[in-house]
Amino acid sequence: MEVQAPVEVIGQPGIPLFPNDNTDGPFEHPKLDKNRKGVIELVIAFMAIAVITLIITAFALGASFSPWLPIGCVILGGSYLLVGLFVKPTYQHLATWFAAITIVLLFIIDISDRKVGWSAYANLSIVLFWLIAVAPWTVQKRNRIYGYVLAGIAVAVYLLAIDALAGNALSWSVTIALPTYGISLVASSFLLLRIRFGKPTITDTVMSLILVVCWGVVAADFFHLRTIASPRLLSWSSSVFIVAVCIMIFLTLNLTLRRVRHYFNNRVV
Amino acid sequence: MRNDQHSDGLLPLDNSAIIYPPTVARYNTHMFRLSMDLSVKVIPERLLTALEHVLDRFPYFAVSLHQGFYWYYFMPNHKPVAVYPDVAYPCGYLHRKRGANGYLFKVLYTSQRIAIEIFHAVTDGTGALVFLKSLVAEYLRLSGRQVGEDPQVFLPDSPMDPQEVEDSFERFYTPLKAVFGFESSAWHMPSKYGLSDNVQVISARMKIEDLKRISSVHKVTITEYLVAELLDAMQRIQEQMVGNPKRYKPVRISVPVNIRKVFGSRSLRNFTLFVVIGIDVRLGHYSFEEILDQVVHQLRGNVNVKSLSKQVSRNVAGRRHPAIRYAPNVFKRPLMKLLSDSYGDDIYSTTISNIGNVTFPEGMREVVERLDFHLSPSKTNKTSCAAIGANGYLVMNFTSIYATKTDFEREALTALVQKGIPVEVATNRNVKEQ
Repeated sequence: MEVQAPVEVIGQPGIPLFPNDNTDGPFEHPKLDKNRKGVIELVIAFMAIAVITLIITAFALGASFSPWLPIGCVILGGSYLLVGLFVKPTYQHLATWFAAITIVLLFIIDISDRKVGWSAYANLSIVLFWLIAVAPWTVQKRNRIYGYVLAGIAVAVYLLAIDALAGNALSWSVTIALPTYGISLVASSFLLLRIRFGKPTITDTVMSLILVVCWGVVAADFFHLRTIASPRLLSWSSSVFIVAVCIMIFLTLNLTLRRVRHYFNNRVV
Repeated sequence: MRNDQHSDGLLPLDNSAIIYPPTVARYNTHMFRLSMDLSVKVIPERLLTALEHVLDRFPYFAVSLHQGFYWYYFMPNHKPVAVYPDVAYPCGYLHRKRGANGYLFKVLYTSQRIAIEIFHAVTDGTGALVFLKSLVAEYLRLSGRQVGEDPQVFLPDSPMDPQEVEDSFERFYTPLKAVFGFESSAWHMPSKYGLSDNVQVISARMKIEDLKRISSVHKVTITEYLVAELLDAMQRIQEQMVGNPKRYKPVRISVPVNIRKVFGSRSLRNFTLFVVIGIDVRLGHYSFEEILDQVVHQLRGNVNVKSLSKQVSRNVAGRRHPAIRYAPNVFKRPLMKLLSDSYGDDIYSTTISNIGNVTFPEGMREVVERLDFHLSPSKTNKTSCAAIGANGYLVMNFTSIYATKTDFEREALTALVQKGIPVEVATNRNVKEQ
């Protein structure tokens, strides 16, 4: 509530309390508050001691000990703590920095034998995580659909990439993984359309998710059999196929018949 | 040019100063300001000359701060000193190297004002007041005026008393065991209202006569009365901001006490201790009379040689403890930052420092129109209050890092007005924008 003093007690502007012709500065201010600065200094102090100790150890032990890997790990370990104190504390910023540091850390550990091996798979997975779980949230809300499309494409590229890393030519990714992924995407799109344009109940959502998984499993079995030129249409996934058909019938009835919908209603008020 | 007679000796920080350099950070500048408004025009060149003369008399102020392996320390600073135009926001951050050519204070001026902003590691309010009075007296002398004698005005050519530079904490230290107590957290006004890097001031000027009248009704001193008013205001602010009484926390105020008179020290370095006075509002709302009662008992009960000796022992014992003494500064510095609040800002909700009524010698009395004292707030205690009296007026300066929130100041000053004390208010806040 604004308090307005009576006119007779409001004074006239006189000599200002402080000069008001330099309110814009420049004023130098420390950038970090006390606690944040304290933690940063402490982390840097411990990192410095660890690095110095490793260097001394390396000099003492000679060629039998290489300090570079542990030094890299110390620096990156400290970076995990420092990132949280330096960067803007939002999910996108923290996730991006942690992902980047983890990629460098895994690469350094893997490269210690002078050959890139397992870290390529792990780092590809981190990049995939970033594209799916972080990238869509770095764009504005109205453009988020492009982020989801990018995430969808990223999964396909990831499948191709790990297949390429494993051998010299693309094999299972083209014949099994990508078709299975395509079927799963189509199955998911029905649920997404219902969420976008309707009000699916919790039963609808759960059953639709089960249906997506079922179609994915059936598709994987189906395309695997085609790859090995089997005469059978489906092998172990026949039962899953039957379950998928049953769920599809149920979802159709649930969507079209009010009685079925009411029977499975879970409202409490 | 000046400072030539100083020995090149290292000067360790005094016991209460060691906490200030490592804990400087955003919103924690540890600066305070004293200023005098004069009826004569201030000429910067003459002020600089006066400063050069006076600084020779105060070699322990002409120092720069350095970081050693174990501790920070002072070294005499031989660089040229300067005077600066006054700024819109007081108690701003002073970089220990770039800020004022290595000096830890700044002398500021406007056409009719001489001010000093000083880093708390160098001295406390009393030391700075002596320096400012001596500076203004020297300025007036250079302007052709006669200035009479005053125990707080040092002539540039007068001999320095060795006691001025001593760390009195060391002299009055009594070894005691188990001096480290622990106090619970007090309530603090939250940060969510937006903080500013520039210190915002609301200045309230009132007649000492009015304050004396109302204090004598309650049979308390002016400081006790003001402490009670601030506690009451803080209690009301907590009741307004915290909906659930189960979440109430004690409201406490830190009152710096000049212990020179208590111990008989003539040191002009830090020799101040803090008495923390509070009410536990979890037990229910306190009426103003109940608060006054608590303030009187707690303040008078704690300002005596024995109680203060315990704090002196705590300060010195802490510094002498081997784990602290021999720990490298790279560890002490961050740990002090992280732990200092537990023994300091965290246990009280705000601060009021009252230097008291300042008298001036003949020749100065007619020229000094107004005296101001400003404390820098901190991230934990976002609003502080500093009071000083001169020429029959007491000026209470509320300094705050809240960009726009002024509830505490309004509560405290409204209470004074409601009790019949006319208050003249001024601010450096951008009132139109707010």
